[in-house]
Amino acid sequence: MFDKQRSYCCPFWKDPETCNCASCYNQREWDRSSAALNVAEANNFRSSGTAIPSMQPMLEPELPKMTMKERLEAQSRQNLAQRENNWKYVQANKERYAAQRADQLARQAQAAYNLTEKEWNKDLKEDLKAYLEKRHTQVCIFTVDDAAKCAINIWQQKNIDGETIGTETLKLLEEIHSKFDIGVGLVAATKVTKALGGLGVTVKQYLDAKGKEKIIISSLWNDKKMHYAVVNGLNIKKNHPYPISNPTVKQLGVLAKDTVNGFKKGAVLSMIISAGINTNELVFNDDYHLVDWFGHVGSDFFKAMTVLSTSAYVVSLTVGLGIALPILAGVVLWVGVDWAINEIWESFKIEDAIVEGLKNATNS
Amino acid sequence: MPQIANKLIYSYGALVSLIGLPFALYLSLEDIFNVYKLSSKTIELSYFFAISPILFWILSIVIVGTYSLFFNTRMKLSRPMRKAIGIYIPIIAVSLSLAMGIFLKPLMAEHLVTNGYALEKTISASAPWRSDIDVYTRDDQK
Repeated sequence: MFDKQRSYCCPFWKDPETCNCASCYNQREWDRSSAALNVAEANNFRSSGTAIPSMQPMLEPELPKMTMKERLEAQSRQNLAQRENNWKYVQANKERYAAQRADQLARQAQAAYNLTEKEWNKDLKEDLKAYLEKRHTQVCIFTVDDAAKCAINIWQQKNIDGETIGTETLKLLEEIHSKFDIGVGLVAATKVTKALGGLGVTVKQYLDAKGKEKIIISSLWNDKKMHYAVVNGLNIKKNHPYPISNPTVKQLGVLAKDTVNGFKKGAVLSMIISAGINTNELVFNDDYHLVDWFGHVGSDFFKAMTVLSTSAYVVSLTVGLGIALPILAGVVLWVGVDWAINEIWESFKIEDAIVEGLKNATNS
Repeated sequence: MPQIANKLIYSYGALVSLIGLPFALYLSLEDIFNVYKLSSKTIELSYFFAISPILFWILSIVIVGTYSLFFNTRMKLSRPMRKAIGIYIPIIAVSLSLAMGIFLKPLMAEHLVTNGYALEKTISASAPWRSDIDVYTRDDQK
C-alpha cells in the first residue's frame, strides 16, 4: 500500500473507490494526503514574480472528490458540532438573556403606561365619547359640559333625519356652548382687578352734570401709584371718567348693562342645558313623556327667568343708588341670588308642582 | 316692545326680591336653627346657611333701593351710606360667609353626629357653584 511503484489492489477484489473495507479507506486517505502534499509543493515552487519567470505555469492539482456519503457525514458532523457550540453558548448566556427579557418587558409596560397617562385626557376620552355618541349608545351625563354636548348631538341627529327646526338653532346651541358667559364675565372681572392691583377695584356708573352717563374705574383705597393699566391689550386709566359708549369700556365688559347681558346669556345657557338633559331622558327613557319634558324644561325656564330678573333688578338698584361695587362683588351677587332661588324652588317643590299640573291639565 | 318686556322683567324681579329673598334668608337661617334644635328626624345640611350674610347684603340693597325708587325720584343716598352698602357690607358679608363655611359647618356636622345622627347620603348639587347636601338621619329605635 505504501509502495508508490505498485498500483493498489483491493484485498476483496472490489473497486477501491467504492469499497468500504479498511484497506481501501486508508488507500483513499493516502491518495488525498499525497495530493495535498503535491499542492503544497507546487505552491512552494510556483512563480513569485521575480525577474526570471517560470516558462511553464504549474497547474494546481485537483483534490480527489469526496463521495456523497462522506460529504453527508462530514456535513452532519459539522452541524452537530455547531449545534453543540450553540447550546453551550446559550447555556453560558442564560442569565444575560433573562435580564434582557425582563428589561424589554419592563420597557414595553412603561411605554403602554406612558401612552395611557399622556393621551387619556385628550384623545382617548374624546374618541370614546364620539364612538358612543355616534352609535346612539346610552350616554351618561355627568357634567354641564356633557349635557350641552349631548343636546348638540341630538339636534345634529335630528338635523340629519330632517326633523330639525332649523340650522339656526344648532348654531345658537354651539355658540352658547362655546361661551360660558358667566365664566367669561368672571374672567374679565378678574383680569381687570389683577391689572389694577387688587380685589378692591370698583366700577361706578353715574350721570355727570351735563346728564351724560359715565363710568369710573377706581379702587377702594384709591392709591395714587398706578393710574394706567393694560387689560386684554386695552389701555385703561384709573379714576378717569369714561363715557359709557367708549369702545374701550365696552370691550372691557364691566358695565352694568354688560353684566345683565351676561346674566341673560347665562339664563339661556341654563335653558339649553335643561333642554339637553330632558331631551336625553325623552329619547332614552320609556317612562318619560312629552308632558314631563315640557314640565321640567318649563320649570327650569321659569327659574332661569326668576334668577335673571332678580339679579338684573338688584344690579340696576346699585347703579340707581350710585353705589360703586367691587366688580367681583357682581359675581358674588349673582351666585347668591341663583343659590337662593334654587333653594326656594326645592323647598316648595315647584318643579314637581308644574309637572303634576301639566299632567292633570292634559289628563295624562 | 322690548321696553315693555324690560319693565315686566324688572317688576317681576322686584316682586321676587321683596318676597322671595327674605324667604330664602329664612331658609338659610332655618338650617342653623334645625341643627341647633335637633327637632327633626332627618336634617339636611349644606353650605347654604353660609350665604346668609350675602343674602343680608343683597336684601339691604333691595330694601334701600326699592324704598328710594318708590319715594325719591332721584334715588339719592348719602356718601357714607353708599360706601357702607357698596364696600364695607359686601366685604364683611363675604368674609363672614367664608368663615361660616369653613369653621361652622364642621362644627354643625360634629354636633349632629354626637347627638345620634348618621350621614345617610349626599345629594350632588346641580351646578358647580352650589353646594352638595348631606342628609343626616336619626335612628330612634336605639
